[in-house]
Amino acid sequence: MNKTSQQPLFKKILVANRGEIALRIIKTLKEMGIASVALASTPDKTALHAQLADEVIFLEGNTSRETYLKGDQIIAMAKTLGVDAVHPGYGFLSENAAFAASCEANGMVFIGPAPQVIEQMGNKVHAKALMEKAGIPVIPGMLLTLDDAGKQAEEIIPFVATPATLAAIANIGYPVIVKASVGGGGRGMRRVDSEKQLLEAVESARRESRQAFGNNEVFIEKYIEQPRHIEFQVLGDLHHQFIHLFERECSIQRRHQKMIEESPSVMLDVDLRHTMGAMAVKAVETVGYTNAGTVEFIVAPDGSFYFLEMNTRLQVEHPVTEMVTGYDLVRLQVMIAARQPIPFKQKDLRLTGHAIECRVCAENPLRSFMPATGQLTFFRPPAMPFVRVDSGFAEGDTISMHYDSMLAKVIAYGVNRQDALDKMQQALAEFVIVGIENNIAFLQAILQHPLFVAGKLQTHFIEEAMPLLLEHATPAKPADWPVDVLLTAGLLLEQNAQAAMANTGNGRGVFDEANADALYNPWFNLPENRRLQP
Amino acid sequence: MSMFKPRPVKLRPVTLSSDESEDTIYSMSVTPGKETAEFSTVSIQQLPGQAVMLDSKASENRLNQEAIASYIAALIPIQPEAIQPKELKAREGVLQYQNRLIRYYAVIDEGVLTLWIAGQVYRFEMLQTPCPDKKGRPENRKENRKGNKESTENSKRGSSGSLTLVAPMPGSILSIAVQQGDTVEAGQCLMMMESMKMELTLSAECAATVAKINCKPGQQVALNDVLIQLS
Repeated sequence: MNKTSQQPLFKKILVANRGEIALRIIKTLKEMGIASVALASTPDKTALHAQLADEVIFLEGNTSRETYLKGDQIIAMAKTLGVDAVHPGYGFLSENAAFAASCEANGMVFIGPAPQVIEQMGNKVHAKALMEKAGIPVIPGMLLTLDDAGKQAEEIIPFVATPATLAAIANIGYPVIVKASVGGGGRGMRRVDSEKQLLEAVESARRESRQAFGNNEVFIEKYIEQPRHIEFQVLGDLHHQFIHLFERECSIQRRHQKMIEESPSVMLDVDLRHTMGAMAVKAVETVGYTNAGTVEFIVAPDGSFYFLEMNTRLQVEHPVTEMVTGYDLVRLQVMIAARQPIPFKQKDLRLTGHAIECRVCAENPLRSFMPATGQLTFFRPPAMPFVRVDSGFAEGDTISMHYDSMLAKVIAYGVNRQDALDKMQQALAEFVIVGIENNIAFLQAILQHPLFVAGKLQTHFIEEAMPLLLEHATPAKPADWPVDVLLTAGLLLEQNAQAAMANTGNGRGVFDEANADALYNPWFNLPENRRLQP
Repeated sequence: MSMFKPRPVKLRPVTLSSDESEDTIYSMSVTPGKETAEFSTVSIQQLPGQAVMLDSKASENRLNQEAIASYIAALIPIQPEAIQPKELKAREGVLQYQNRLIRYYAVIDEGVLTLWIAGQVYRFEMLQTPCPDKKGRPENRKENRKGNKESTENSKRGSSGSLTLVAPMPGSILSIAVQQGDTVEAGQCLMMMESMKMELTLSAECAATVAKINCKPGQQVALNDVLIQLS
């Protein structure tokens, strides 16, 4: 690993992101003796990531489109500051091939793969075809080319299944899933169990896709029952070395977004890990991938696996890999971007212990995970051995509607899975968040669900376990609240009321010395039924 | 109006050391209007017929924040608006209850007390207050709040509940798929909303006619705002 006493690999790196990932990247840059430049939109003007950076580019505006996505403006400003490399983080411009190309064209190294590779892997249909050609298993499927000219059509031309189409679908084998070609987030997805349901599913998927994305192209894929989402962290350098850093299981998802990730996966034994790892390395070799990336697979209960897609960037859940391998992925990314070789070989890597990550989000699981906004009036992340918390927020910060709802990532490390789970439970129990709705109670409910504890994971876990999860995550009825809670609440409410009374009149507080005791006795004027009964 | 309302603060550094509370036991230093107030210590006398002692050592988060922010603002005159004190109607403290110490974090906002104790969040609504002046009463403020949205309430009452489309989350309107006068079927997409990178399709719950559209694309809306009125 590079020592800070050596010449820094870059002079100044622009971190083109916000929140926890920007903060996390800047911290590693500081370790490496590299100056950092942060971006800050108007709501993020005093955010932690901007505070920690050596310099800040202030972007006027609130929405991502007005600020963090303004690639040209960002590059122009970075150039004037003497930036020699750009780390895009995840989201925003991280998988934007044009941005990556523009960085390079302006003399700044893009910390990620080459623009053409981003483009190749960004097109899911193209990536899948490429992988299939390279001998990597992909989910059998087909595009329904119904009305190519009508992609933007106002009117849907009714879908007529030709015998050839029906035969091809039968060949894939029911159940199949109908998916919209564009977009994501699970919209336009329909499960089809038999030919009878096909027509209606295709029509409704097209309708939904057209309404949402103005595109009614759909494709059909084999439906995998009880699928797991297992991905491999990969690295490639400019010296033709390709390595995987084992897997992450990310099957716990809601709205097709990951919520809990872990490494290793209980699904993989040594052989399957080896086989899948080799396929992941083959995938990156095929496209000549450089820097850090992730190869995502769908794994069926029988252990058969299929290439899903490749993410050409650092992932949200990268910390679990860092915990079980001991390597700082951001440091490796910077080294690779500086044309250094990966400082280890595949055979040197060991997967040690078990790491789990929970994403703490501002959302209400009781109301179908609706995002919540507000203020982090109290925000005290847990501090305990073997627990890492990555968060871009400080107490008092306001969570705006313009960006991601993730408040923090809690990562627990243990000698084995149960140990990591126990530590995670304790960490979540200690996490104080008051002022904004969040999913901590829901995460705790998942962690103690029998199927989760047993490692029986699949991507539909949350929807199938929902009744039990809600039962555990729903707050107790007031009648069951402990006496100490009621006492504390009574005390605080009364103090508040007394203060309100003392504040009336001249609008400025009046302290009545004579009646001080009576006034501030919290039980003053307390109705009979709110007194504590012995 | 709560005891946490803003007060004038002298420009001076504030020690956050909790040692000071040692000197102020049994004194009410959260006196509204007293600028030196930093810590409160409340002792509760024995209640008739029982032996419960409750001690509160609550630091006043808000006051400290404000004092520190003013102090910093005086030192660094650039971007003063960026270091405005953050609104915190909050307090934290430790209570002794029998042989246990209870750490609590509390927020009082709009007459609702949110309390974090031992990993659980509890909510209390303030039902009554001894305050003689109606102006400052939390429940009164709540009425005012409702008053501001009177049209909202009326429209909900005027038609049956399912015939208004309200915002299920704070966010912005991406697109509106219908026009005034349109008839819609149950399940038909009415509009798309976006918040925190999440897109949400809002659909009609039953067949209806679009009576009025109260928003336009790009507009930001609050939770429970009426977006479309149906009939």
